[in-house]
Amino acid sequence: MKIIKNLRLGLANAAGLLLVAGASAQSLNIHIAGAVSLQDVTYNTLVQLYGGNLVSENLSNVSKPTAANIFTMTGLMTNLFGSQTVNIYVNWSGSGPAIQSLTGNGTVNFYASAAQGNTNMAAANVDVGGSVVYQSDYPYPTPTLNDSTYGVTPTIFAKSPQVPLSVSNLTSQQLRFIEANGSAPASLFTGNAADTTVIYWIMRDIGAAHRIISADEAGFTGNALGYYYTNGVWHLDTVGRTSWPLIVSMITNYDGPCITFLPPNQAANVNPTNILSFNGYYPFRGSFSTVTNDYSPTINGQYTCWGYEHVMTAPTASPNVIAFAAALEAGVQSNMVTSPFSIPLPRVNVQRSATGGLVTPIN
Amino acid sequence: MLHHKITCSVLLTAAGLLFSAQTEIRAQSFTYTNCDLVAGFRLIGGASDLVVDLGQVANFESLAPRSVITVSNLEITQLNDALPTLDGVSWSVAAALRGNTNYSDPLQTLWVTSPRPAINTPGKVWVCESEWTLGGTASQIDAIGYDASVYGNGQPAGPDNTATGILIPPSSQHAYSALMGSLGNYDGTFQGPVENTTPSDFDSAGLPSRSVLYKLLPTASGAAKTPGTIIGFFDFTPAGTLTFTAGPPPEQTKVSGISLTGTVATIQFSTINLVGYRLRYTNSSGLSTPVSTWTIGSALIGNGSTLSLQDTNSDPIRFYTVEAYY
Repeated sequence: MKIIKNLRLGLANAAGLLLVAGASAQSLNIHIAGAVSLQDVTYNTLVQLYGGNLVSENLSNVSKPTAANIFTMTGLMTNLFGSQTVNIYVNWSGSGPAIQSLTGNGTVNFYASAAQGNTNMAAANVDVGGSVVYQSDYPYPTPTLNDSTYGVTPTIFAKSPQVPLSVSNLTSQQLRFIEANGSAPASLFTGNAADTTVIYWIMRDIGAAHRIISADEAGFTGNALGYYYTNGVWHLDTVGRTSWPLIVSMITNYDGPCITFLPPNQAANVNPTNILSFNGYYPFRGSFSTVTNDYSPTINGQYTCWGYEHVMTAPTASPNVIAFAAALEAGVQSNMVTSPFSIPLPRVNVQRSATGGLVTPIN
Repeated sequence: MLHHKITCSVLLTAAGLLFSAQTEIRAQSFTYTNCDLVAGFRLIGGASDLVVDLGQVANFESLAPRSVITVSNLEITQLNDALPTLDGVSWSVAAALRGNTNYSDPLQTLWVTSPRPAINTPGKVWVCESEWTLGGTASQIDAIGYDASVYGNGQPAGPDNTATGILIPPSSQHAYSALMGSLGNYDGTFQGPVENTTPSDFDSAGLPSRSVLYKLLPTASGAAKTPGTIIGFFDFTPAGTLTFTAGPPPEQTKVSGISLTGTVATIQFSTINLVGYRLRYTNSSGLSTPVSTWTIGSALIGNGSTLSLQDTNSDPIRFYTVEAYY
């Protein structure tokens, strides 16, 4: 939490423009960052926490707010903080940057203003982090963060339309191979030596927890290589793309044959026929839906490429941040019940003690 | 490398402007760039692995044959902090080309050490394989350096986390041990074990532990596997130093013939390309003295063929030996 001490009068012009930086005395600023897997339920929860007192919001995706990667809101959360103005800054920059910032090792950029269309960014420390991997999956072990798990999200594998039709499954061995090399001959997947087409591996940067989940699940310990497509050419990618839209663009267009991993809400952009099973199983029954999904294979341990959803705060978090995080988690848990992209923890019949760890029945 | 941060405070006085400058030395944590040669040291059951960045492999490749350099990036203090003894220490050195555009070699080119069972006993000859096969190993080698830098970034810089060397608990997912695997073959991705393990009497015996550095280029599709190219060899000594010598290591020399024409003695022997050879000789009274004290005669550089050295003398009896040297 940060209290704005240098007071500036809030500006409200005839058009109703509100600027977060000068909203009111003793505004409560809370910065949220983390895994994009949580974006839809988190957005809905934030709107609910504001209730009718959401004054303004600045969304990177106006037409679909639940898919906005960056947004800033301002208003009152009267049930939590009474008449105090609450400014919420969100950037789904990945689990890694959130954990890095929560442990005091960096900042994340946020929209500085809640005025729609203002894309000026301001760097700040993260107050509340959403992650789908453990703190120990990133090299920031201290201080130990407050960590609460409340759900499960599967990693989904997908192919582009130009991957041969017969490729419908990915094995751990194939995943290890293509991550190490950045590409692979199609024959490795089709079993037909005549399939010499090269299939490219496209990947997010290491800040994306689903990269860690998929690698750990396959037993891949090396440094991954990938490719990215631009201006008609595939280029070697030693780092990974910095956002999901860049990945979604390549996997959904006719840029060439490629394979990748996605969080469920990003897999929603892929034609369901291009979603791959992993080690012979899908995380859901039937066809993948953007409305509702039956995640029984994940819930019961048949599909094991998944991670826990965590809410994290720093051990030095203020009482206001802790109260907010608890309210956010409760709201998210409630909204997850109807989300097509996440599984509430009480529904899950299996458990694991580490990302990629052995999955065992709870009872 | 040290990062120098200069902070200045400015004092205004009646006499004018005075500057008070203070230099603050700030240590830097471990860094790695693709194609850096990285050495790893570990002791089974030890508390820490040691990873040392030796710099770009091109710097080693460009050395003239028989040049010897001491790897100054291996610091004895870090070695002592990581390893309670040098007996039974497993070590390796490697690099992999993963998109470094400063190199014209193909993607997935490897530089990997082959351990010698003893200093004069040849080890395995690593062979070139397809890009697809070398890629798995390249990924592991690259991760040893990269993960060490990631780990180092999350830790305070200090004596055991410097720009060129870092101690990492072997239980860490970023550790050399985790990426090398228990069999010393880059977690099952390479054609054989690459680690050299010092003997149990290493500290007292005094002999170095030697590993040969091979360069492995990806072969064309369907092409036969061919032996890699020897770039040089590393000697890890009981004193905790690491030296690199460019070119192939000397082997035990086999004399295939000796003849005397007038006063000219000719000694024939097999050679290894780029290895130096020289005659040593003595008379009857010196025969019981160490060969290293015998008089040095003529010399040549091997080319892989049988060559000869000559000695002109009028002694009735003279004893010769051919010595490979560098």
